[in-house]
Amino acid sequence: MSRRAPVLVWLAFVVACTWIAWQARYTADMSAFLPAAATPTQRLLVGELREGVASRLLLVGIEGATPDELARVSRELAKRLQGRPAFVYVANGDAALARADTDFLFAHRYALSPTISPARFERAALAAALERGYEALASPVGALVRRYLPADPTGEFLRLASALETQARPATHLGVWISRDQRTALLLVQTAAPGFDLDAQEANAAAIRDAFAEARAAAGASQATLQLSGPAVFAVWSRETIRHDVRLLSALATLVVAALLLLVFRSLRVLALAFVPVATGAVAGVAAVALGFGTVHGITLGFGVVLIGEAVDYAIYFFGQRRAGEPPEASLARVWPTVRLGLAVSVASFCAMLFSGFTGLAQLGAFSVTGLVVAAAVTRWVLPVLAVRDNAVAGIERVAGLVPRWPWPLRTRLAALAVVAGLGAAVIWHQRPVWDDDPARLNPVGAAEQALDGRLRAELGAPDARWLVVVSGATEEAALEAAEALEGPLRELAAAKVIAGFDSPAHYLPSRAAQRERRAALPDETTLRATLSPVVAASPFKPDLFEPFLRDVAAARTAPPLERASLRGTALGLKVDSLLVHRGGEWHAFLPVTGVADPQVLADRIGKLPSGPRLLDIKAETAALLASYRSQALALWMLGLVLIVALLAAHLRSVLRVAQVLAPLAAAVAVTAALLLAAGVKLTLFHLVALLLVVGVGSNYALFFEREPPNEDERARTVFSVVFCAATTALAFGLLAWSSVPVLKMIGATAAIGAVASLAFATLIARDRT
Amino acid sequence: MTNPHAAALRACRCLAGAALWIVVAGAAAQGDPPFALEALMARLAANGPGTVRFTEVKTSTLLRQPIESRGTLTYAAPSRLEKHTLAPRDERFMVDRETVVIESAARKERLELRLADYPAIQAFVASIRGTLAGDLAALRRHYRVELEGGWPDWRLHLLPSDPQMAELVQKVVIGGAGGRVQRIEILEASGDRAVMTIAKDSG
Repeated sequence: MSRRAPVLVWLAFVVACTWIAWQARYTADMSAFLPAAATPTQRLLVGELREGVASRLLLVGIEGATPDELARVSRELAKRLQGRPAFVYVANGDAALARADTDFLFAHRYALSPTISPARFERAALAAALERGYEALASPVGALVRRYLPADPTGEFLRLASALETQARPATHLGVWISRDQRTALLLVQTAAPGFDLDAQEANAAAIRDAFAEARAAAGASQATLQLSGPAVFAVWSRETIRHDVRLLSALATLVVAALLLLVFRSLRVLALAFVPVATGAVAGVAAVALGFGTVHGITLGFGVVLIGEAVDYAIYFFGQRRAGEPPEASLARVWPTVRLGLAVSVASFCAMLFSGFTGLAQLGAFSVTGLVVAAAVTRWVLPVLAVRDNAVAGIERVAGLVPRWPWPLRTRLAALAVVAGLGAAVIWHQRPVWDDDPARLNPVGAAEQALDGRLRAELGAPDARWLVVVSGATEEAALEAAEALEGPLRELAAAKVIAGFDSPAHYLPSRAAQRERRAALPDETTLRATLSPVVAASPFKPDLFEPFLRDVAAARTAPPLERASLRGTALGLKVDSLLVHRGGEWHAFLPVTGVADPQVLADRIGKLPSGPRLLDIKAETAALLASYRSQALALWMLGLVLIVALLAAHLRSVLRVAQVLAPLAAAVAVTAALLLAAGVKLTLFHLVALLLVVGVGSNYALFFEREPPNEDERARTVFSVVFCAATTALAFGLLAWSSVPVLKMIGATAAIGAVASLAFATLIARDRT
Repeated sequence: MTNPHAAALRACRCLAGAALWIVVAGAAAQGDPPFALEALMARLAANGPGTVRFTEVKTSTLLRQPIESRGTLTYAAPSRLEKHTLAPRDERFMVDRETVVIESAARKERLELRLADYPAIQAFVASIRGTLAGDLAALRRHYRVELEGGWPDWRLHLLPSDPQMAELVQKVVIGGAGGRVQRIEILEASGDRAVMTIAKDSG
């Protein structure tokens, strides 16, 4: 009974972990690999990336037909997407769709217009307004002016509308947005779901594709094609790609490792048993991440492949020791101390990742640590129970012959390793800059998709979003008032040509205070009528023409204040959503500034304001974010290294022995990095992670070779196990290098090279029997 | 024997014959094709760039009396159009491709608009630009096109096909003779109308 106890515990554990892993939610949100932002500004930036309006925008391109057909498909598509609850806003340049905006501007002109003041309703001003209206009536815009003149003789609406018009907008064909080369009709869709809600975004993309198929048929342009882009599309696509790659590559890695195991051990039973620690470790790792983080990242699952490469080693060390007739515990006893130390070293290296500010990296750490510890534990306590009858391995001597008995003394070999490490370091030094600061490199999205996104964005005239003035407040009202306080200074700067222009959420949603002030400026009906009547009598206009004006001004005096909800479904609502956000318990108003000629003058001018606005250079902040992420990764790496050295020192209790274990690791890391750099690859955080993995697996090899083998059979078995482990690791990682997901590819290629290098250098420290 | 009357008659016949010959030959030399929309468009397209003077009368139900104005109209193929009103006030209305610029000299004001956003302006621009360019395809993009009359006196009826535009403009009627546009009449849905008459000489 007590002998079976570990198996029962293990079974219960597997069932529990599988259940947790089954229930887990999976994401592919790449911002998990952004560091937890250090400054409030960076937090704002990362928050925007994750759930800001930008993350909810879908860019739609229609191609492959004549411009006229494209315009028809665009209209049909917009018609089908409009009004669905999943899409907050759909725009294709069509005036019919812009009507919601026009209606909104007209209905709320007295609340929105910044020119409203008591003077505007005085006799002279009204006379001038009518004079102007009369002139406009004779012009080609007459039909348009005529429409609004009776209700809006002071021209508040047209002024508001034309202020919007001056903002950059795409070219049009037949009233519908089209690229300048007339090949792509453009649409902009804002989803109700945030960018990171991938299930909803997947459904949204499918809905757009279906609607497009219908629109294409309705427009009679069957050859037209759909291009979808945007952060959410990328995220969905990434999740799909990661899911696909992880499935395929884990299956392949399993197959390859299984084939190798079968080839060497020639036993299906051993094969099955060898996967017991791996599978248990993987399930436990997923369960740990699900429990600790709430969601499991796709990249983390990709690490399952890595785990196959490393955790299968424990089983190999065990089966490599099996001799006919020997109790399993006895076989295990010979390797367990070394396996345990190797495990401790690996865990030490991954622990550093656990403390990372990057959710994604911390997940990888948690997954790997749990996976390895569980795999080792299963090897230690479960495998010996299950593996009663398994016998010796064929061909050990032949494999052992692969590792030469070096004729040189150990010190010479260590010196040689030091030289190799030094050479690697020299290459790294020479290849500077070593680091890749382009966040696009982490993006799992291919270059073609990124190019499409860039093209659609440029055609849609997405504003140059480099400079933002940010003001914050405890309430929405406070943030809006602070934004309004910036209006004057920014206008002055624009007049002085320090900036070209700016936008503000208060242009579309004025603060309550501003609205109150404007309302107070509106005269009551009797007063206005008394002022207006003689003006109209002296004008060429018919009397009674401006009754709608009197009525609307009277209505505006008692209208409820304009609120955020009133803007829903309009382009202006979209703007306010992106320019006025609630994050981290505060309200932030963003004022994008274009054409900044002198950032210093701008910063100085707004810096004097009491509301404490900040000038945010998105470009510089992003660079700072990436630099902090890199230095954090390096710090973690160093921490991992210190932990490893400390562990080795504690166990080996000899400087020489520690040096003996570290020398091949240092050489392997240096040579791997040097090879990558020489091949033109710039290093990223993920290369660092992979190099940490190299240290993890390489330390096992070094520890085994560093042991003094008690006899020839033991030496042969050690060499066999290590070579075999390195082969499975290199194969599993090598497969990962075929992934189309850049992160997995980087880790795979680096770790595969590193595993081979580690093995090669570890043989240099192999001790013969003295 | 000589009958002066008969001689006169012969001379008259001769003259008439010559006149007829001149008219017929002239017409033949000019190569008047049968009057049809395509032929008219081809003739209009052959005009090329130029500036003409106009007078315009705008009648509006908002006003007690019509507004009269005058100025010049300049067109350069394929997309530039400028209406420069000189009186009652100096105002310039310029279109190039999809952009409209309205400049008031008196007020020193300048307004830039996107054509697509203003169906009313588009109706005006598309009808004149399309007619002056003889671009039937461009006209048909915005209008149902109907033609009446013959070479000496034709009228092109342009009925907006875009419901947006139709809300503002009921019809544009362009009248002319041969390859010359003489009159542009815009009937707004509101009942207002603008009649632009183009002077014979160019300048």
